[in-house]
Amino acid sequence: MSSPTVNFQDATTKVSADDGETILEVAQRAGVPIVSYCGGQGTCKQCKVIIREGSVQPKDPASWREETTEDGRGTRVLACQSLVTEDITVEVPLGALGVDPTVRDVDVLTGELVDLSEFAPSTPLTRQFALRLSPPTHDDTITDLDRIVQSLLAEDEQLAPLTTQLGLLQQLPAALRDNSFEVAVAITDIGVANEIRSVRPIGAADSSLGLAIDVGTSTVVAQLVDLTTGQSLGASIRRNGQIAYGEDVISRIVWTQQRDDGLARMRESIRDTLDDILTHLYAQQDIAPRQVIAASLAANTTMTTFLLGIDATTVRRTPHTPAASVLPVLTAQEVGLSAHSQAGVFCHPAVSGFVGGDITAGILATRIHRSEGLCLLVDVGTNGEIVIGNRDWLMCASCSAGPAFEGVGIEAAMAATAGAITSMNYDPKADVIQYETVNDQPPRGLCGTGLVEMIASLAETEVIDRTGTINSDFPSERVRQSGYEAEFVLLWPDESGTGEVICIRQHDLENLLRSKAAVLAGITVLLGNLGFEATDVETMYLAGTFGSSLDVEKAVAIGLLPDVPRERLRVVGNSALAGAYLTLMSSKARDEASQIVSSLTYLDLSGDAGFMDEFIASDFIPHTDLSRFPSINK
Amino acid sequence: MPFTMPTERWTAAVQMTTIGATEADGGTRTSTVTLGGEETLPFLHWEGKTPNPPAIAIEVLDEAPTNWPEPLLEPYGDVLGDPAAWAQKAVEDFGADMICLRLVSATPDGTDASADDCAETIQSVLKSVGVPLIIWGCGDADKDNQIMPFCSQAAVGERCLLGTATEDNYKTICASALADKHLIINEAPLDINIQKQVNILVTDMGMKTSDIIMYQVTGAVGYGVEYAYSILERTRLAALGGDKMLQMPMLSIVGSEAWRVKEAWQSEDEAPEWGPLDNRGIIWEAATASLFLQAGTDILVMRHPEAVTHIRKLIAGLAAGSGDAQEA
Repeated sequence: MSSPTVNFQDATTKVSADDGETILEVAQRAGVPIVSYCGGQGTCKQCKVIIREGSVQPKDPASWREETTEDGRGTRVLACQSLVTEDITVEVPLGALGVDPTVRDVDVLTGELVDLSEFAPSTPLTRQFALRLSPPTHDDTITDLDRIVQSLLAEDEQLAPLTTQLGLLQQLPAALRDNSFEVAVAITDIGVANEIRSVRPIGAADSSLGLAIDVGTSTVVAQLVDLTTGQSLGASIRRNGQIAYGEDVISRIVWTQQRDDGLARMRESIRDTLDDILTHLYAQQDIAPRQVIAASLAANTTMTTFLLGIDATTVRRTPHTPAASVLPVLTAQEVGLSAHSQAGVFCHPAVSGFVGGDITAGILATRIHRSEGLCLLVDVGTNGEIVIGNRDWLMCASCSAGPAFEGVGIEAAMAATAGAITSMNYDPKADVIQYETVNDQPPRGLCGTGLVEMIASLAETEVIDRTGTINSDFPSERVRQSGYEAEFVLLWPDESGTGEVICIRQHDLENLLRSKAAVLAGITVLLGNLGFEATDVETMYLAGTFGSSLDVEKAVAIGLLPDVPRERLRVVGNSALAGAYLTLMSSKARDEASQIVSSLTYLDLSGDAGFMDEFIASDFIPHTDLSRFPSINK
Repeated sequence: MPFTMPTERWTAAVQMTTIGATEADGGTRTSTVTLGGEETLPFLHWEGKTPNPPAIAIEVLDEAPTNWPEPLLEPYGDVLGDPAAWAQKAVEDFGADMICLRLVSATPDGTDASADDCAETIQSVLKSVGVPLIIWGCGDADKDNQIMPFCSQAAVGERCLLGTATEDNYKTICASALADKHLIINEAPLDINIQKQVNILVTDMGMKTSDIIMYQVTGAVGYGVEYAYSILERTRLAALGGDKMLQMPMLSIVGSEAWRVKEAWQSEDEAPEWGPLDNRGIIWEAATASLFLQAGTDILVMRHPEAVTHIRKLIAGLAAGSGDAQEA
């Protein structure tokens, strides 16, 4: 008898199963990214898949549950609890697919954070100069390189000192003579000098484009920028393909250690993700990769090391020392970025294994390091980071917020792209949901901002209690029981842009509340350790997953942010990407980024005895200590 | 230099609560128990008012116990299995301030008694004694949600203590208590934050803070009781510091915890070095109870009459500040 095969519909992958293998194990072997937080124990209930053809055997009959899908044509089961014994066709719903591979357009860089005037003059990381040189003669015998250097310094004497590498020298004589000494020269600011990295025909250098990139644990965003004007040409977003290997950085590092080609595969995965995004972006703008001559990258320490193919084991093991903090300005070829091979790539410097370039970029963008008054920056991502300080000192802590607000593992969630619900309100009397979506497209799901609004609205209308538990007696058809747990229907099939029912489940609410609890507890403990209260903070910046459309009132209502006067709260969006944009465009910004690293101190919250207590107290709407939320307390 | 006893002043006090309703208040109890009002830590009466000494409730099961050791069965004799008679003995012979009726017969894996059976038992106990009643479910969340509305109704207007409400299961019991004018016991798994969260959840449903008693699951001496001690103490410190959501009186289960540990029941043949079995359990129960008293507990739920006698003496001694405390 030949071994049974599993046909994965969405991934269009067909694999044969070994004896006693579960659907999850087959999927992992085949590279089909099914979410599993519990590692196949059957407890996290994230790996629900639909059996479209054939049937499976329960791994443990005692705990076995299956349910018929709404269309009646499939059976929903947990992939980790289903043994493959015959040929089956499996549909992996988007919610269970850890990585939604779709690249979408986003509008991310706006507002005060990307105001370049404070970082003038504009000095992009890589600049191009069209040089019309006079060919050497018997009277003018200076070398090819000196000819270029003198000409560049004549354009701008600030370019000194100039340097270059052997590779360029090897090509230089031909490049000049083939083009009659009329060439476009690209120089990259490598910190200590400007390096001449490319000499090519003027016609080939028809535009100067750059990339600002934010590689997050769960989400990757790239922004295409015109280096001459600083104008944004568009941005695209995609889930980080590495999610298939683990939800957080630690589990991914562990994964790389378990196999010989682990690091290589992890590197390949993030390169694929970036490739997808850049291909989409370039096609949309109708440009060629060679037109992109610079990139600035903000990423956490682990993401940076993975992208560069550096072993991240030391980040995980105590004392958590990464290979490097400040990285040299690399080339696109070295990084494996789809761009001009010699394009300069600036990586935002990291402070430690857990405070990466994304947070130093965020500090730069919010200008906390220049502020006179006390500021606080909360960057809510898979790993939440909190920075407090001013122009004299900076302190930073990280808290594991988890990817819930980024929508990972939440079927009703999506990125803030067309059709994402950004604001919602439930009216229990009329039993309707009022909402607004990105670009006014039909609603397809909730983005991070929408998730906050959803919790606030359901709590206010008492659909959920303060622990986030759905009130199963709530008098509405929207509250219903679905196999394992209670759920609240946000959109019926005829209301949603997908034609499917969109609902929020009990465990989604629990995940979201734990996320917000980690953030609030992190803020409270960091402030407490330094002897401050939330009210001592002059400006509190909320960055990361949440767009500037987030209503701060709602963020306070659910207890994501402390209850301080609202004018002190600023939702700033993706501050890491904004920082990358600034360093892409300005040498002053690049200098300040290095200074930030040297003035930032890391505080380890995991060693704080009060953190767990504060976390449990915060896992409540808005907080167990209601007196800390006087403006919310009814 | 003369020694001056240092004193501490607190800004708030423990919430005052009365359990049980006499005829004047619409019930049939002949006595009530008032708790709380402390302005300082337990028994430090020179620092502030401590108007109401802790109360002792004796535990009565609604069916004959199957796993109690001999020294615990002995004082009750033939009343075991007859909850009304058991309760009467506990009050008249052993001086219980309250009866804690545990509806173990409702356990689905056990006798699986119906809601009507439980309600009937409650009414018979109410008739047989005049002290306030604690009505404690079987511990199975679904079953308790089934029986509690009937049990509550059977004692309508008596201001009983209904237990227990937990973070995951508080609505049914809270609704019953509200409807039938009872108080509620909010349970937490040795976590001060979760205790507070349950308190907030039930007050959100309309429960008055004066109708709430707090209960942290505990253990006995020798089994991690230090942790329970510090949780209770922290709760009390928070109450005195002004945290309104932690100012309710506290209840501790002592008897069943103490008699569960092997030191209380292992035979002399098995453990000769532990001395006679007769008083080992009693000592264990009294020692555990004395610990909770000092942590701030207001209601001790106990089992053995002799342990109750010891503790009553200790409470009296500590309240008076006399040397009796050491004697006990």
